[in-house]
Amino acid sequence: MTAILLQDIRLYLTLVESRVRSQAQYRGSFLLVTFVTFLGMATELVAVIFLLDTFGDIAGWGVGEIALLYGLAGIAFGLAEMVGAGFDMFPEMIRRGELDQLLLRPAGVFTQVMAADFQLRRFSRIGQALVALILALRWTSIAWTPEKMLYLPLAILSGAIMFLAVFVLGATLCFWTVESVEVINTLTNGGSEMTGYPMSIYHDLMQRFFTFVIPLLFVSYIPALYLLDRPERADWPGWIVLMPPVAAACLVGVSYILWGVGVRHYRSTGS
Amino acid sequence: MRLYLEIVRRAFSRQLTYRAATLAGMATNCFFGILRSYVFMAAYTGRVDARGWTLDDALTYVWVGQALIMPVFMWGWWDIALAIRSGDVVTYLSKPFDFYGYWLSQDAGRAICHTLTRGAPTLMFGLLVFDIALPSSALNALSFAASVVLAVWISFGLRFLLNISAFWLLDYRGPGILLMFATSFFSGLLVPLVFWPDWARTIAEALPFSGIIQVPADVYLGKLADGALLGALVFQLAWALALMLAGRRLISLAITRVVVQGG
Amino acid sequence: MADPATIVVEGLQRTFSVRRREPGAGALRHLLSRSSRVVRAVDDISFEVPRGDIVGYVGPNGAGKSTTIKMLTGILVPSSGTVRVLDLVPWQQRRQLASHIGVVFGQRTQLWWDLPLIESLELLRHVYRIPPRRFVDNLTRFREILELDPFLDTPVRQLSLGQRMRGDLAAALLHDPEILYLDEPTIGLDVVAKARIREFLQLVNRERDVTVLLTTHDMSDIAHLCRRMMIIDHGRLIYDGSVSAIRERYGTARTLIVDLEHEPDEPICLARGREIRADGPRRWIQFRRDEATAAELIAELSSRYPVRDLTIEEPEIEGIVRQIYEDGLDSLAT
Repeated sequence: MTAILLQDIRLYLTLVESRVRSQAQYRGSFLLVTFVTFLGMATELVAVIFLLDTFGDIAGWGVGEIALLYGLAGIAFGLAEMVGAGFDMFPEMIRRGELDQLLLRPAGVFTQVMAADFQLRRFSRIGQALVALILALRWTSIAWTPEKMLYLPLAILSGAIMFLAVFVLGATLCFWTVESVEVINTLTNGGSEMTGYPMSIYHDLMQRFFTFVIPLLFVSYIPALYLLDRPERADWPGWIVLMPPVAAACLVGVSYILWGVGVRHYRSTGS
Repeated sequence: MRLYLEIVRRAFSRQLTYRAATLAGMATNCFFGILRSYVFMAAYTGRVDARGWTLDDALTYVWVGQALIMPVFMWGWWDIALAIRSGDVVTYLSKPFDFYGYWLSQDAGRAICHTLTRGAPTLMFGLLVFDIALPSSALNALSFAASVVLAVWISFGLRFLLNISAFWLLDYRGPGILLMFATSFFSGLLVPLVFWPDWARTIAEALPFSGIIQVPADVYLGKLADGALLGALVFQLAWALALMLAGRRLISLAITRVVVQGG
Repeated sequence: MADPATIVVEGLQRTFSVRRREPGAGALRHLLSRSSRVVRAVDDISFEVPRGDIVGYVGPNGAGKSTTIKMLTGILVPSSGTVRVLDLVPWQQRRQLASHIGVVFGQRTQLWWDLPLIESLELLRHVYRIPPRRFVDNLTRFREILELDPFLDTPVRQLSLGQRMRGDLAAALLHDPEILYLDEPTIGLDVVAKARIREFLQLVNRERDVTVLLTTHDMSDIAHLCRRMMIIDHGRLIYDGSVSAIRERYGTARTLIVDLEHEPDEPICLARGREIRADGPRRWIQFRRDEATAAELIAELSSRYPVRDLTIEEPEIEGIVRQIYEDGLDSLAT
């Protein structure tokens, strides 16, 4: 069982390395597009800064705090976009009948789909969110502890896994409906923008959905509350701070299981 | 003239066939509208007014903006550029109609369809769920309609210029992405220009992008008194014409180049 | 050591329930609609293939060939029946079996579209975990026999059909599979390319004892490669026997399609060819392979009539199947 897992991981790395190499080939165009996208996305950050310049704060969160949320969410989403690109193109794959090809190989289908693409260019989003994060660290006064320093990368990683799980769910839906399900797109892009602000500002139903169904609450809001030592939500239990990796694990577990159901369905009905 | 009307009609019906994408796109529009509405609601806690705008104004702005996104089509229109890459553009250039006029008519047809199938329903959603304001008078509504037409024209002008650059640029995607982000930023879609710092606002208001979202939204909200209203529409018209002139100039340059180099 | 019969199929069934799509209904209505019909793609098929055989698996379009292959390779789960390949159950032990089989689809490629051929092959080395030594040996051998060197560095999407097919064959055999499934491998290729592929398959079968299951439309592929063939139609196995028996009975008739300068007054009558169909100046003339050569017929024809253009049609599986039905299924000694 673990031997198979290791085999798949090694195969994943080899396939992805090939993808990256072929992308890096067009170096000039690639750098240009990445840089331009970086600039473009930076305008989103500038817009937020403008907004906060006028309003001072949003629900008690100042520009530095919002920048922290924006940075955490942006890096997480960018990482997921980079790694999960294969699931993004899965609808295309299944439409072209390429899934059969994957089933003929002595490797896991999940691994092969994830390895089908790896988009280096998504680094533009990560880069710009990093800028936001750095600004946030300068504009806020976080009382740093060794735990918090460990917590920061862990929270970002958990967020990335959560967004990745949503990509997997989106791809899984393709096993049943031929029409591309844009709802997932809404959840990912919308979710990324949503988590750039404190979750407390949204409608009750939304908050509940994004806590218990697609737990994006744990991408940026919970980590920010902890890092900034914010007084709100003091009524929430202390262990909630540790939930990001748990939420990520749960969501990715669910999506992996549903993926398996999807593959089984494909093999029983012949697409 | 009849030819162009026919092109408009054809483009309209063609756009109408993309039914599946419509519903999905609506969901995205509405979701973003909802998110941004809540951001403003939170921003306005403890205050009634910001730079002369009330929360109602801000919410209305959000939904008018979302409704306009598809009609002005600020993201990803590469039809001409692709035709240039594939060489098909020659067939268009050799036909006896006006190149600019042809593509403008196409876009008009598409825009009409998008207004009906995406714009209006999105606005309706905002009306029903967030109780946004309606145009204050018939005159107001008519000026808004005129402003929207001009907004689409400006957006087309920009997209046209970008696509034509494919004649000269090896990689048109870079500028394309830049244009898309510039449009979404300077048009005031992300944050209305009224909430920008003064220095930035002055710059943005001089650019054509503001004519794509901000100006029509201002008209809708009735923020412009008669003189200013006329001035705004003239501003849009001026940019639309300027972009058209630039586009037509470039096309004739391109045709010469194509003829000289033999495609 | 292993089962002498590499592939054992018994009572294989596969039904599909195809939802009838109401014209004009949207996707949601289609999902919810319950009107459907049952299609028996594979209907009670049984056969065994021993190690080292090259067997043809032929049938008209939609007969169930691809569905059978999918079940043999583990892509599709049967509705009922049993399949054992190399003593493994394909859909239950998919990954394990995959290391021992090679598959080539005529229409689709398993190579990476945007990478040079050699890189695709290198990646497959990792996918199949081929020991470096064996990989190099096999690659060298295939490069030589299939003459891959001229286009080894070319991206797969730029390859011609024949080149891509050779690349796919190399890819399918790099890991020394025991069984090779070929689905329309020579489709769209010219005569020279077809011959080269056939030679290669015979070589591989001889040298490495690879069992080959060849699914094709092309009777001449079968004639050159297989001693045994199975004919499947509408999901049922209507023939499982020697190729020579079929050829003798149905495979000898060839058709010469000739376009004459002007329409002749009466049907064409040649010494060893008779007209079977007419459409103005275009005539279909049938002759037997063992009675005359095409050259003889053309010579006789052009000496008597002004010929503008002509082509030769080989016996096709659809025609043979039709004839089998006309003669009656029992007339075949299975």
